[in-house]
Amino acid sequence: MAATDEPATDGNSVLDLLRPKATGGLVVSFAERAGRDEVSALENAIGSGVRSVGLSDAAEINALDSEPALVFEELGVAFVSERFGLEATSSIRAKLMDTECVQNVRPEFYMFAIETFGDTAEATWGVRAVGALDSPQRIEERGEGIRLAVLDTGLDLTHPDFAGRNIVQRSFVPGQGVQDGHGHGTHCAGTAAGGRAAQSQFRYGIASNAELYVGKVLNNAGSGRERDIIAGMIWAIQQRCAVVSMSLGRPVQPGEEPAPEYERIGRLALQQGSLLIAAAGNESSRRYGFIAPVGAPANAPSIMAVAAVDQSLEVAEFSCGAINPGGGEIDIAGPGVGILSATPQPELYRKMQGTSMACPHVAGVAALWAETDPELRGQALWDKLTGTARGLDAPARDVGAGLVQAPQGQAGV
Amino acid sequence: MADIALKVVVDEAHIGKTDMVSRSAVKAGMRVESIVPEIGVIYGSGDETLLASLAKVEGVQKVDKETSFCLPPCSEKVPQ
Repeated sequence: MAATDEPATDGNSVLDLLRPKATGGLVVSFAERAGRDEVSALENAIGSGVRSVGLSDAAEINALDSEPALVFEELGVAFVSERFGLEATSSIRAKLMDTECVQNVRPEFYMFAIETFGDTAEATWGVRAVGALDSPQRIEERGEGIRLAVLDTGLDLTHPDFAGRNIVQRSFVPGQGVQDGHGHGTHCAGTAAGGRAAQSQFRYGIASNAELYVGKVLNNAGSGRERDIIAGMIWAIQQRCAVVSMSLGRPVQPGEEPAPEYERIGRLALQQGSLLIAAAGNESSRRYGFIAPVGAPANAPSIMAVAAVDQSLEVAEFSCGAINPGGGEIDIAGPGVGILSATPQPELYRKMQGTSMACPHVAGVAALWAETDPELRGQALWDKLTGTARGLDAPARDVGAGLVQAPQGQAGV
Repeated sequence: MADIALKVVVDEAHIGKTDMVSRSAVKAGMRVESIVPEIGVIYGSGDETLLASLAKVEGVQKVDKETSFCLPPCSEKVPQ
């Protein structure tokens, strides 16, 4: 291939993220059942180390993982290991494609479990799963007039998807402005209040026209003092933000009670017509049966705790659960695995996972509900979110009322 | 001994008198750096022995080391 100064993409960062991921290995299809000629062809291309495998050996395939190439004779298919490296694999592929008995040579791709939801050319799976595509408002108007605060690491103020937005900003981090030098805050703000990817129709944000209030409470290394986070929460309430998204927290011990100061601020918010929404935490290892308690401040009874579900609407492996009494419950769930959203330039978009990603889905949907009725503020908004959530198979311990759902009506994508 | 960051939580009965409790905390040796009267919380710093002595000040519900929040590395492989 001739050298070129052009980037190896078509310039669409979103599409690049949606493309299949190659393992680095090859899949070789022969014209017929693989016999001696086919094995010889492989050996000519890769050298020694071609191993023939019968279908009865398939159960032991993992034990053969170190072999340079495996040939399934009955299937007429061979797999060439990814261990040859990019340059050698390219040469092997060319040799095989020039061999008469070879029908096709293609990259091997990673395969994933069948998903209930997946990203499409239209929108992320998260936007679709919360019903935001069926919301009655036109996308450009969604969340209009609703103040939505994101308390995090700030926002990439130069990101093209936020160009022209009226953003109220304040940093509570000494010596640092709101500009996001970390990435977490931009990703969360993108989900809650972003819209479509610039110059495309791909949608990843929910309340696309909400009045975005960005409070930087975590520094560019991703950490923050408690006093700065509390100050940010008070600011958002005083600014009369109907929705406050907080994808932050710290782990707590089993049996640890909620801190009274967070419960006080949660109650203050509800009295003032604000709803504080917080990520439940990611300390569980559910494959081993370990469920960690909801962290702080999400464990305060008056702060809405958000769990994460995956594309099959199963509770995410890492998502914390209702282990502690007295406020340590899960209130609701949001999409939190494989979430594509904005990230600071030059990358523009990336996929992330965590209850940090589930939280802004709930916040964005909360803004859509708040827009439908000026009475839906504080506790009334809380009740609407939990009352309209989609029930899931997982227990309330893990997902609360279920998966958050946007107001439904005529689609206005 | 190095100073530590402190958080004093005022009891329910004294939330409206957080400034008064703050003055008492200063007299007890705390350097008060910020007050959140809306929720009755005082932040500051001082010697670790203040954890015990400030707890005896009238209107104080509890005294803790101030915690911090920290995100994990910003990676798609690590739950955020």
